[in-house]
Formats: sequence, C-alpha cells, structure tokens
Amino acid sequence: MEEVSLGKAVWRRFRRSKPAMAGLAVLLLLCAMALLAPHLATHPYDDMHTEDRFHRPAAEYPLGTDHLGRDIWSRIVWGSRISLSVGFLSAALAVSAGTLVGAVAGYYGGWVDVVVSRAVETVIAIPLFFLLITIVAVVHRSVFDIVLIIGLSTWPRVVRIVRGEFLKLKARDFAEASRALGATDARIIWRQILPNAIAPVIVAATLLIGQAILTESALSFLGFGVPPPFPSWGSMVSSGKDYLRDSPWIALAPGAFIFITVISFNFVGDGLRDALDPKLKR
Amino acid sequence: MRRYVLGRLLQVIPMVLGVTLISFVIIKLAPGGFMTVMADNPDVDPALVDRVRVMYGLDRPVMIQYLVWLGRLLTGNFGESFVEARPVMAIYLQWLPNTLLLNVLGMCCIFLLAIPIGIIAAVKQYSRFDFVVTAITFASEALPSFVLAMVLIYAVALPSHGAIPLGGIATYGVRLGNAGLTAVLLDRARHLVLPLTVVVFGGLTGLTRYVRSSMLEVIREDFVRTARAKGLPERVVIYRHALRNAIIPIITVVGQMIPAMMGGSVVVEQVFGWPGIGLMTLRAVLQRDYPVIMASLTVGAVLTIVTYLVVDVLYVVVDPRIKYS
Amino acid sequence: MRRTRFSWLIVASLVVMLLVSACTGANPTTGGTSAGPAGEKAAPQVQGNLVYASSDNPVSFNPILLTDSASYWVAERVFSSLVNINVKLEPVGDLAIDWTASPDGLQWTFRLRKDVKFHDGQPFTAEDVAFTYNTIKDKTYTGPYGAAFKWLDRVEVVDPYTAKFILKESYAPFITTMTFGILPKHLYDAKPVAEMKDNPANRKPVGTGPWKFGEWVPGQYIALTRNDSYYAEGPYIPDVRLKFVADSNVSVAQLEAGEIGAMLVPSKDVKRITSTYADKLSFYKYEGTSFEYICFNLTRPGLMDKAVRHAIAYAVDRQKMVTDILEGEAVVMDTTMAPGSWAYTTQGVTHYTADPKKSMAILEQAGYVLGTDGIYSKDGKRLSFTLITNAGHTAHESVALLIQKELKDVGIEIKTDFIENSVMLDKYVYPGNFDLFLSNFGSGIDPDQYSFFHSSQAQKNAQGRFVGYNRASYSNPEVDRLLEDGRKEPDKAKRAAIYARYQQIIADDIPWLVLYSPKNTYAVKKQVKGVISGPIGPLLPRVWYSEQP
Repeated sequence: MEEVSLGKAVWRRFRRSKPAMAGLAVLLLLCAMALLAPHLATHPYDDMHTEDRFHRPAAEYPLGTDHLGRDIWSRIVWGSRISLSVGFLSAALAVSAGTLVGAVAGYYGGWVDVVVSRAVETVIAIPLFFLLITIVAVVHRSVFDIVLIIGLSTWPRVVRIVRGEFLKLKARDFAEASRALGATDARIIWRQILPNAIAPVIVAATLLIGQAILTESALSFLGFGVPPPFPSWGSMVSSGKDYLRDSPWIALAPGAFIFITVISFNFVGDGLRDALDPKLKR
Repeated sequence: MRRYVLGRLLQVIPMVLGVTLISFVIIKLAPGGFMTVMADNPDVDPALVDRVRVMYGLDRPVMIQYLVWLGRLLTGNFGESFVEARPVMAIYLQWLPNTLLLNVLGMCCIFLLAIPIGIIAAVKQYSRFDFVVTAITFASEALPSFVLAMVLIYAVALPSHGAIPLGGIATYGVRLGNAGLTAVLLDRARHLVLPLTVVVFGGLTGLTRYVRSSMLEVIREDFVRTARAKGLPERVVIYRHALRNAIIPIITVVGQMIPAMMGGSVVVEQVFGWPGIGLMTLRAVLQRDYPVIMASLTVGAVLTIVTYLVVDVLYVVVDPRIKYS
Repeated sequence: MRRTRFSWLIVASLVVMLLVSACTGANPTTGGTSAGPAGEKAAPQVQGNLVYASSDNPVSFNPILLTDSASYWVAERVFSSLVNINVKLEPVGDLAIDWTASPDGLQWTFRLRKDVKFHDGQPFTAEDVAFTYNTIKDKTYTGPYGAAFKWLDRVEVVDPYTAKFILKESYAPFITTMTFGILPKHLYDAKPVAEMKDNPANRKPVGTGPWKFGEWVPGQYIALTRNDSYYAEGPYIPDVRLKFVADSNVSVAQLEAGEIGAMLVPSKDVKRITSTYADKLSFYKYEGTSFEYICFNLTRPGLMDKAVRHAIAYAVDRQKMVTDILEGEAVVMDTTMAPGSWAYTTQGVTHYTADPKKSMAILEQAGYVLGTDGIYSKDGKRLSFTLITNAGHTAHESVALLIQKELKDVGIEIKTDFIENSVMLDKYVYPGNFDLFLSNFGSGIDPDQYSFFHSSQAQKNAQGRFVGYNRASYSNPEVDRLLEDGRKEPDKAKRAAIYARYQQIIADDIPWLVLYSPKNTYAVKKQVKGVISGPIGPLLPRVWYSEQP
C-alpha cells in the first residue's frame, strides 16, 4: 500500500465514472464562478431596476429580474460564494469534528465510547430544526452563524457513522494483527482503520454539503436564512416562491443552481466512494 | 444482554437531563418573551406585565426555573401553555396524531420502497434499473422540499379540481358519523397524497442510497464469495448472507431518519396546513411559549434517545461480532 | 404573517366594533330600518355556507382576554356588544337601545334590550354588562385591556335593563370603547377573576351574537352555527367556517379553487386574481387604517437635526414605493391620521415629493459637506445610520432596501438589518436602541394620539422601556398641549381644529416619516350577496346572504 500508487489508483478509478467526472467539472466551474464573481456579474447584486421588475430572461438580464428588479444572474453569481461557503464550511466542520470523536469512541470502546456516544446522542436528540430556529432567532444572523449552526447540529451524524465503522473494523484481522505487532493506537486508527472506514464518511460528507445548502434554503423558507441583501441561493428561491405562478424564473433559476450543485456533490462523492473502496483494490 | 440493556436504560436519565437543560438554557437566551407583544402596548400597565411575569415564575433565575420545570415534569406535568392557558399535554396530544399518521405512514412507504430498490440496484449494478434509480435518488436529494411541495400544489392539486385537495387533513363534514367508512378513508387518503409524496420523496433517497452502497460493499466480501463458490442459489446468497450484513449500517441510518423526520416535517406541515407537532412547535417558538417548546423538545429528544438505544441493541443482535460491554 | 402587532389593541377594538355591527339602518342594500328582516323586500333565504381563511390559530375567544385576529373572527360573530360603529364610523346601539350622559360627562346610562338571550338560554341583563367591564377594572385581571380603561371607575346595575358607567374623569372617546363583547356572567362568576384565563368557556364561548360556537378542530377549522333566536336581522348564512392555512400562497390557491369563499387577497396577487376570477368572486376594496412608517430616534446625533430628517423625507420616493413594491395596492400618506377619520386633514400638511436635488441642497444649507466616499458629514460626523425592520415581512424588507438605495444617492449611508419581530422589539425598539426602524401601525377610530407623540410617552419605566409609543423621543410643548386638550374637548368641531394643527406640526417636524397605507382587496365568492363594505372593510356579515344552498 504505497501512497503514490494509491492516489493514482484512486484517480484512475474515479476517472472511469462519467457522472463523477461531470460532477467534478461542474463543481470546478462553480468554484471558478465564485472566484470570478466580480467579472461574471453583469450588475451589482443589490442594484434595483424597479422599472424592470419581473423582467423575463433577456439579453440585458440573462436570467430575468426579481420582484425588486434585481438581476438574477448577478445575484446567482454572487450567491455562489455564500451558498458554497455554507455547504463546504459546515460540512468540513461536521466531518472533521465527527470523524475525530467517532474514531476515538469506536476504537477505544468501553467507558470512552459510552460517554462519547451518550454525549453525542444528547446533542443529536435535540430536534435540529427547532435548535436552528431558536438559535438563529437569538444570534445576530450572518453567513458565519448559519455555517456554525448547521455544522454543529450535523456533526453527531458523522460520529455515529465513523463509530459504527470502527466498531466493525477494529475486530477485523488486519487491526488485530497490527496490534499484535505493537503498532501504536494512533497509527492503527489513522493508518489501518480510517482508510477502511473512509468510504461511508465520504458518502456522508458529500450528502452533508448538499444537505447544508438545502437546510439553508429550508431555513430561508421559514424566514430564518441568510439575511438580505446578501443573496444566498436558498433565500432567492424562498423569496421567489411567492411569484412562482407568474414569474417562475425568480425561484427556478437559483433553484436549478441548488439542484445542479447538490447533484454534482453527490456524483463526486459517489465516484469517490467507488474509487476509494479498498476492497476493489485487491 | 439483559445487563447491557439495563445499563443503557440507566444512561437515558443523564441524557434526558442534558437535553432538557441545554434546550432550556438556549430557549431562555432568546430575547423577547411571550410578554413582548403585550408589553408593546402602552395601554398595558407595566405592573400587570410584572404580575404576569411573577405568576409564571419568569422573574426567577434560569436554573431555578429549570428545576421547577423539571420537578413538575417528574410528576408527569409539562405545565401550562403561556399563550393558550391550558395544559401543554392537552395541546400536544391534540396535534400529535396527525404527525404520527403522516410520519409513520411515510416511514412504512420508505421502507417498503427503499430496501428492495436499493438491493436490486446493488445486485444489478450498472444496469438500466440501477441507472434510473440512481438518477432519481440523486435528483430528489437535490430538490428543496418546499419547492417540490409548491410545485405539487400548482401542478397537481390546482388542476385536479378538488380531486387532490390543496391542503388540510379532511373535508369538512366527512366523518364517521355521517359518511361511510370507505368514504372517510378515501377522503383522508386524498388529503394524504401530496404531503406523503413529499415526505416519502425526501426520505426515500437517503435510505435507498445507503442500502445500495451497503449491499455493494457486502457483496464483494469474502463470505459472500464463499457462499457463491459453495454453489448456493443467488437468492439465498443475497437475502440470507449479504442482506443480513448489509443491514447493520442501515440500522444507523434509520435511527437518524426518525428524529430527522419529526423535525423535517415542519416544512411539509407548513405548506399543506397539516396540523402536526412541527407547526405547533414553530408557532410556539415564534410566540416564545416556553412550556410548549420544552414539551416538544423533550418528547422529541426522548424519542430519539430511545431510537438510538434500540438501534444499538439491534446492532448487537444482528452482528454477533460486536460484543456488548 | 402580516399582523399589525404594534397595535393590536386598536385594531382589535376596531374590528370588533365594525364587524359585529349595528342593528338599525345599517343595511343599505335592503333599505330596511327595523331590527327584523322586515320592509318591502322579502327577506333572503337562510341557506349556504361561507369559508373564511386565517393564517393564525386562535387561542382564547374571551373578548376581554383575546389578542389575535383569528380569535376576533370568532368573538365578533359569537358575542355582541353595547354599541357598534356603522359604515360612517358613528356609534349605533346594539345591545344598548340608547344612552344618555350626565352634563359633566362623568355618568353614562345605557338602556338595554330586553329580548336578548345567551346561546345557552339564559337571559341577558345589566348584570352581564357590569360584570364584563368591572372585570377589566379588577385588580387581579390578567388581560391586556386594563390600562385602556384608566378613566373608568365602575359600572353599576340600576335595574336589570339599565347599566350606569361611572367615570373618574371626562373622556371624549368613551363611547367607542363600549364595543367589547359582553360576557355571560353566569359562566364566569363562580371563579375569581385571576383564574378567568383558565375558564373552559373561553374555548367554547357562549355569547348573544348571531352565530353560536360550533366545532373547533385545532389546526383545521372552526365552524359556527346559526343562532336561531338571534334578536336582530340575520344571520342568513347558517354555516360559516374559519379555515386555517399557514402559507398565503396556498390560501390564494384555495380561493381560486373555491375551497375558500372569503379572504383578504395578498397585494402581490390582487392583479391576477381580480382579472382572472371576476366571474367567480366579488371584490371589495378599502383603505385600512393602518400605515407604514419610519421612526427616527431623535436622541441620535444627525437624526436630531430637523434638516437631516427633511433631507431624508425628500429623498424617499414614496410614490415609487407604492407603484413598484406594492403593485399600486397602497396610497401615500402624509399624516398619522387615518384618511377616513373626521379629524384627517391635508390642509397645511407638508407633502414631501421625491426630489433628491432638494435633499442635497437642504443638507448643504445646513452645513453638511459631501465627503470623498459620497456621504455627507458635519464636524467629522458622517450621516450613517442603521435601519432595522422585522425579518420575514417581504414588503418591509423591500422598502428598507429601496430606501437604502435612495438615501445613498443623496449622500446618506443606511445599513439595513432584518431581525425577528420579538427580538427586534425587545432588544432594539423598547429600550430605544436604534437609529431608525420601519414598522406599521393601526390608527384608531378616535383621533386621540396622545401615546404617539406626547413627551410624557417618551419616558421609560423601571425596566428601561418606553411607557408609550413615543419611541422617537419627540418633545414639543405645543404638541403636548394640543394632545392634552384634544382628549378633554367634547366639541367635535373644536377637536377637529386641534388635531388639524397637530397634524401640521408633526408633518413638519417628522418624528415619524409616514410612508403609505396599504389598500385592501377583499374577495368574496359570487354566490354571496348583500356584502356591505365600509371605509375600513366589509362588515355586518350577518346580513350577507347566499343565493345558493
């Protein structure tokens, strides 16, 4: 199991999956869009052309305008920064915290596991949505708060998954063997078990990125999302839903971006899962 | 085994205490109270506001309020709603059946659909069926549920001219007293179609994907190959050997779905006017009706904790390699 | 969630007043003047049903405890009151036949109808009237209306059909407060007043109104049934229901599908609904009494300068706001007085027409210098403020963003902040911790606006909150005097003059910048006829009738 060939092997297998490659391409494009926002946007995101409200998609407004006459394309472009940050950061937060705690709990077992598991279940037991709504009402909403809240409220799921994998894997021969050979705990956790447990974590992580973007949009729907005038895709869909009948593009354009983004993350995660699966490697 | 379960049951106590304490403190941190709107009116005597505050014990330190609340809870009393001035339990029980109906039915549909679909998709990996299933699960996973709900209302309910209602749980006047059982059941079913679709569509994909990926993993394991090599029929290999092992991570996912559904149905309940716990709690949060919020959080938390307990016990039951300690 | 939370007491009394309306001569369609369905024209048939929509869930139907609009809907149909306000906003008798006041205005005697029974068969008497109002005056009363009756001393029962109100001081708007639904004493007097909120009768109300309380399925609907022994005309529609729909897009869809028969159409849907459904729905337009405004904090540097407030008033294009954000479903307003009120005036009241150049000229004249950042400043202080409003209120959010843009164009920086309503009130509005806030208000029938701008109303109580609505901290001795006099002056013409002067001063000082008053479009299904629409909404639902069973 040399590092170099592992990376190459993963990439070779990943490349074989068309959806995963397509997803990766889309995500790279979206990241480029977020980085190049000032150059891609045709209007400032909060500029109101009130005489052109509810404008259909046209040359001047590629994706139309919303109820205040703001250019939807420009808002989507700027909004990609916010929505992608919400997705990436909250998933990163959840996965890093969750993996660490889950690995420790699953590997050591005994009272460590009992205490960690019960603590995590205590947090997970508080219904996510009410926690979110209450906290969002308390804190002064900002993008960062929303990231923190979504991340903090989803990390216990990762703990559960990682812990379950560790429970299963630590009894396996390879872990027992390493232990017999005198490997340190850290090494066994990090080098032996974690690579074998990574597939479900990656599946979970990709789902979490998508879910974070969706959770933000559901929060927006209930009136607790990223506050205006910052354009998050979720808040754009949610304010556009009132005009779904006559001016569907207001909700559907950002909705399509959410859809494509989440699907791409899931494709990539799926491809990675197949590519990383150690059992295929033999 | 009995000792393990008993031990786990004992651990439930500090967990419930933890959940309720955290929730209580968070809720109390929120500015604004149910007196806020009342106090907004200059015609309301400030002395009255103080009197009501004292009446509900809101003038005392948060920890004392928590202990009082906890003490009452031990006698099975969730207290009285500030807003509705009647026992929280009565309010809760009034809204609970609707949530249960929607979610239990939803869970059943999800199980019945997701497990076979996931297995078939895994067994026939890269087939056309697998492709379609994967495409649908990916697509539905990426769709915000309120968008789906609104689209269903405009695309299905509105053009159906009343065949599929726009919301609510029953047609006025259609009840067992004055309509036949079939008519009543049919009416309830019509009202269930759209909310159930949204609930199932939202929950289906996660489980299907997990079943599929879990099956894929297991199918490649040695013991499955061995079983195949021994010449066992494919059916036996899949359903006896593979499924049994694939089900383990699925249990975790199901365990996560139950509380998630209770919380996630707020959006569905809001759009379809389905009077369930989600709507009740959302209103209570907006009105800062602490006793109602606390009841909802506590019941939800206990439900979740018990689900995890059951999941862990099942883990031990289905996978003999895991020792309970 | 477009509830006028700031003013629920006023809106509340208004709604109760208007909708449980009067008996005599209030039905122009039949032209009858008697209490019964008499006259030349045959009485409409008793048939049909009408489903109303509500986004609120009601809580308690007790008229002296309730605080939300869904509960009013029920109370205004199940209870009746001593007096109602008619289409012309004048008081007319309902349970009271007539009333007389002593010359000093301290004693009011009401003669009551003798033919009225509660829905449970018990007779209605002066005891019930005295009980209802004396409960509000009780020291242990927990409802919100106590302080509104500060001037009332007690109510006495002269004989079973005569009630006497004894006032501590003369109070000009007295008669407009006689609009609370009368409670049945026999269901409430067994328990102390402090426990009234727990009385089961609050959830299954018994009144003397045209409809009886029927069935309530929480989260679904409330059904009322006809009171067959109602003492006055109607009701003709026996089956009325209030249906709960949380999402306004869904309730509009239900209106289109015919599942809802009467509701206020959200302004964004008015154009489409009125043009598409003219054959299925009748529309009643009216200008409500509520208005949207920006409150300036006059203790803040910059905003305490009248020139800055004038500059802001000239920079904000209210007409554009109305046409572009509200789809024309609103009217620009210049004063806090409802245009339907007899005290309303435009004479001498400054109307601010959008004029960015004038704004900038005013600022420059007042010594402000345009900085390189495009923002005016004076003595090193930039004109930069934060405008807060309640999150989730689409119109407020949009208006705030528009104002932000317009003020930027004239060199005033505005940061917007959208905060959940009760958080906003508790942390920012009550303690006076804001620069500007955007909100709405319902002005009452009576022109008394003492609590808005009297300097005493800008003081804070022990908890550090304003005692009145004067959160602008506005103080002007002349306005104080006018408001004090207006409350005591019994002569209507003299009062009108007082309030005209008051409106002129306020429009010039602009502690509040009044923006607009939303127009309302009320849709009722075509089969329902006889709908009376007053200046502030459809009223007297008991005389509406259905042409179809």
